[in-house]
Amino acid sequence: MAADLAPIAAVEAPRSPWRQSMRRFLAHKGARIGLLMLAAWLIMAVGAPYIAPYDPNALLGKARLAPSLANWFGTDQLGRDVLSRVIFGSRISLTLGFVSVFFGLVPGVVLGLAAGYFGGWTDTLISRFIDAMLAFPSIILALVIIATLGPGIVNVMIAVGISAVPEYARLVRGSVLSVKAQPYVEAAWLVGNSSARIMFRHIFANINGPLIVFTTLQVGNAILVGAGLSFLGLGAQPPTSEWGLMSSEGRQFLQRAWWIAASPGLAILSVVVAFNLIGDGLRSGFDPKVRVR
Amino acid sequence: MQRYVLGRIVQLIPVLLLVSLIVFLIMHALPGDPAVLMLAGAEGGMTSPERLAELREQMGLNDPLAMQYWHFVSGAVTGDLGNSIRFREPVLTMILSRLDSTVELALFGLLCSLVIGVPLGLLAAARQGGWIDAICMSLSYLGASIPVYWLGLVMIFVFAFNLGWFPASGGTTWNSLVLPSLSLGLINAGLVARLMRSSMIEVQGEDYMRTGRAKGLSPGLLLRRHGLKNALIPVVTILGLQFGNMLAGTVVTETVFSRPGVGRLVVSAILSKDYPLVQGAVLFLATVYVTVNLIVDITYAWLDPRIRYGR
Repeated sequence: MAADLAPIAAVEAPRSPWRQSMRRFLAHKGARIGLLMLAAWLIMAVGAPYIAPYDPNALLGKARLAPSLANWFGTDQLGRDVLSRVIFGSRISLTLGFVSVFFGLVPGVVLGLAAGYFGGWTDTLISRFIDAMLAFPSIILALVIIATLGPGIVNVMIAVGISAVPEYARLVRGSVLSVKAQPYVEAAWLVGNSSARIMFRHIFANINGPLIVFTTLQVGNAILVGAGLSFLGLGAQPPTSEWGLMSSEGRQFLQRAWWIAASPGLAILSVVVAFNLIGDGLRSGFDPKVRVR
Repeated sequence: MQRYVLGRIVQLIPVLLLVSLIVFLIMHALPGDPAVLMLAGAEGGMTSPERLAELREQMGLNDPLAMQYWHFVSGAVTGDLGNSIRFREPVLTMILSRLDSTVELALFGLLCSLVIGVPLGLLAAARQGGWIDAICMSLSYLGASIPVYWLGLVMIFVFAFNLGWFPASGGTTWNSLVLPSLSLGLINAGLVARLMRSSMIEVQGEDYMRTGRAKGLSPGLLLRRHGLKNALIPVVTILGLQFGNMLAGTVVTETVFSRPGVGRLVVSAILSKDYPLVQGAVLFLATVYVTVNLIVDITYAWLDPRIRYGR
C-alpha cells in the first residue's frame, strides 16, 4: 500500500507531515474498518436509550429465553433483554477506555518528558521509579490500587490508568532522548525559550506520533483489563449493565443459556478489535517505514 | 559471563527494594484500620477500645511508618510476610501451598503459546502473504482483543459441556490443566507468531545467511543452525514479558476455571480486605516476575555474545 501511495505524494504539492500521516492512515484498509466499527459503537453508546429495544433493567417476565426475534440476544437469568444490556454496556466500557487512558497518559507524559529532557539525577530518579513499577505485571498493579481504593467501576478506571503510567513514561522518555540532540531543540534553547516551553511546544510536538499510536492501542487494552476486573467482581456492581460483570453473571448458566455470557464478550471483542485496527493504521500513518503487511 | 550475571543480580536489589516500598506505601494509604478489620472479622465485631489498642501495639501499627516499612522488608527478606487477617495463617505458607498450581498453569500456558506461535510464525515467514500468514495475522488480532475470561468460557462451553473432553473446572489431574493453559496460550500465541515471523524474515536477509548459502550449506542446516538460532533471540527476550502476561492471566483464568492458585488468592484477599495477604502475595508475584526477567536477560546474553561483551 505504501508503494501505490508514493506517486500521489510526488505529484501533489508538499503538505504538512500531519496531513501526510492522516492520508496514509486513511489509506489503510484495516483502519477504515476499525473507524467504522468504532463509529457504530459510539452511536450505540450515545443513543442507547433510543436504540435499545428495552429498558436494560426491565424484567420481561421470562428468564433465560433463547435468542429470538423479540429478544435478539435472548434474555438473562433475571429476564432482562441481553441486547439492550449490551448496548447500554457500551457506555461504560467506552467511558472506561477513554477515562483510564487519560489517567495514564497525563502523569506518564509529564514524567517521561521530565526524565528525558532534564537527564541527570531527575532521570535516574524517575527511571528507577519506572523500573520498579514495571516490575509488576500491569494487572497486578491495577489489583493493588483497587485493593487500596476498594472495588467499583470508577476505581477500576483509575487503577487501570495508573498501571499504564510506567509504560507511557518509558515510551515518552525514549522518544525525547531521540529528538533532544536535534538542532531545532538547541535553537529553541538558544533563542531563550523556557524549559517548559521547549518540552511541550518543541519536543512534545515532535514525538506525539508514537504516543498517539500507543494511546489508541491502550484504549482497547484498558477496556479489556477493566472488563476482566469487573468479571472478578472488583469493578462494576450489579445491577449495572457492564460487559465483564454480565459475563460473570452468565457464567453459571453457561451450559443452558450460553447467550448471557457470550453476547457481552463478542461486544468487547469487536470494540477492542476496532481500536487495534485503528492503532495499526495510525502506526503505518505516522511511521512510513512500517510496511502494511 | 559470570561477571555479567553477578552484575545483573546486584542491579536487582534496588529494584526489589523500590517494589517493596511501592507495595508498602500503597497499602498504607488505605482508609481502613487493619486492627479494626481483624477484630471485626475474627471476634464478631466485639471491638473494645482496649483490645483494639492492644492489637495495634501487637501488629506494630503504632510505630512510625519508616519503622513499619523496616519490619516489613526485614521480615520479607527472611521469608516472613506476616499473617493473613482472615485465615490467621502465615502469608508465605498460604502462597507456597498454592504456588505449584499457578506456576504449572503459567508454564503450560507459555508452552502452548510457543508450540502454537513459533511454528506458525516460521510457516508464515516462509510463505509471506499466504493463508498461513493470514491465520497468523488474525490470531494476533484476536489474541490482543479477546477477554481472557471469555475465551475460557468459550473453551468450557465447547470442550467441556458439548464435547466432554476435559473437565470444566477444578481438578488436580493433568487434563484439568488443558483448557486453562490453552486459553492463556492462545491469547499470547498470536504475538509470538507475529514476532517469530518478522524476526525470521529479517534474519533471512543477513550477510551470514548469504555466506552460508554461498559456501554450500544445505538449506535445512542453514535454517536450523544459523537462521533459527538468531531469529529466536527476539522471541526469547519477550519470554519474560510473556511470563508476566501468563502470571497476570492466571489471576483471571484461575477464577474462570476455579483453580486454587495464587491469582485467585489475591482476588479473594482483595474482596475480603485481607491486606497483609494482598501485600505479601503481590510482593511475591512481583519478585517472581522480576527474577524471571533476569533469567531471560541472562539467557539472552548467552544466546547473543554481543550483549555480554557490549558497552
